[in-house]
Amino acid sequence: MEIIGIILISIGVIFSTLGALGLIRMPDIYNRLQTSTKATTLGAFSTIIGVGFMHPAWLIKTILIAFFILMTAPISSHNLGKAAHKAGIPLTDKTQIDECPQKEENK
Amino acid sequence: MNTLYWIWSIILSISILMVLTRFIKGPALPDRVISLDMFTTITTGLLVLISFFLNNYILLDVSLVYAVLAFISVLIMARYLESTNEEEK
Amino acid sequence: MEKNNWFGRWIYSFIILSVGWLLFTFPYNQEELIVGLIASFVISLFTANFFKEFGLKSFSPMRIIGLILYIPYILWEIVIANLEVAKIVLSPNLPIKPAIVKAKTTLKSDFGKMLLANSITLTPGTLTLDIDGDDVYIHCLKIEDTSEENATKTITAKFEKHLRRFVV
Repeated sequence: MEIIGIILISIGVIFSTLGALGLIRMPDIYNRLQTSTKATTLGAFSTIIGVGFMHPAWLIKTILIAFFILMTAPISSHNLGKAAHKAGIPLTDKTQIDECPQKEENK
Repeated sequence: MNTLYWIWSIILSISILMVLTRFIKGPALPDRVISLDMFTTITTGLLVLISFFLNNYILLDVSLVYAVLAFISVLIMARYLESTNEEEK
Repeated sequence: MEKNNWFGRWIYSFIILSVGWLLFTFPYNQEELIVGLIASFVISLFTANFFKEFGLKSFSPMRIIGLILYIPYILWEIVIANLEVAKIVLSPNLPIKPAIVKAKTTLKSDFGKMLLANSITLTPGTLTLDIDGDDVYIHCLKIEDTSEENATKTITAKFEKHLRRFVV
């Protein structure tokens, strides 16, 4: 049990750091949303479940917190992406195509 | 165990600092909101880790409430961004 | 989807609220249990009008088994996609090819569309921007072929195959 917990927490910590690195390196908002929020979600999820494995009496509570994060993270990042797209925040130069209709209204 | 705990906390703190640099630098308002979202997610993980190390059950409730409040605040900020831009048009 | 009657919706929200309460107050004692059951009884009387798509038949065994089988699948997808994104972040010249593509979905109910959009957003590399009727607008981190057929085949169809077991 303890070894599973240690492995899970280490994976979580590594993915949180990778998410933060992605937030710094990516060129525009949408790519930042892609790399950062979801890598961090996996990081927090895995850390919290790992704590539950190391302390089995807390397992139900930690699973509850972890699933709450897993359910709410996509909603908030979807809302942020939609708001940024409606605001007409420019995409990076590498973008190939934009088929979402609000773009034409903004021009 | 003790050293492992210190290593985990220090790495998480460094990633929080990296997120904060984007919060200071970020060119537009949505960048700052994204970094706030990430900040709260990482902090929830760190809080659960601290509650394990201090062996304190109450901090789990604290982290749950923290996650709920962070989710609601990010949603409200996204709504705010959307509404302000429609007025500018 | 036929309309659920009011009683079915009331039972549904009562069971969901009670299970939520039991999970939140995990080390049980008697007073908390009674107060929670009374509170969820009263609240479900008021909120039953809002859950239009749910009813007693949401608890049929096939749907619950489908939902339980879906959770490990989505977790595995998240881990695989995260490894790919980690490779992109760590490589020095950032090999990204972002695009916003349009894809079709065949799911009809609002709840199914919500689950589909959440699954697409949770796997890194794809982010749902908007859903308009049957069209899903997805921002991809790295995609070669930006046509609508390819996006439908590689992104939405993969999840719909599993989601179809328990939502319409």
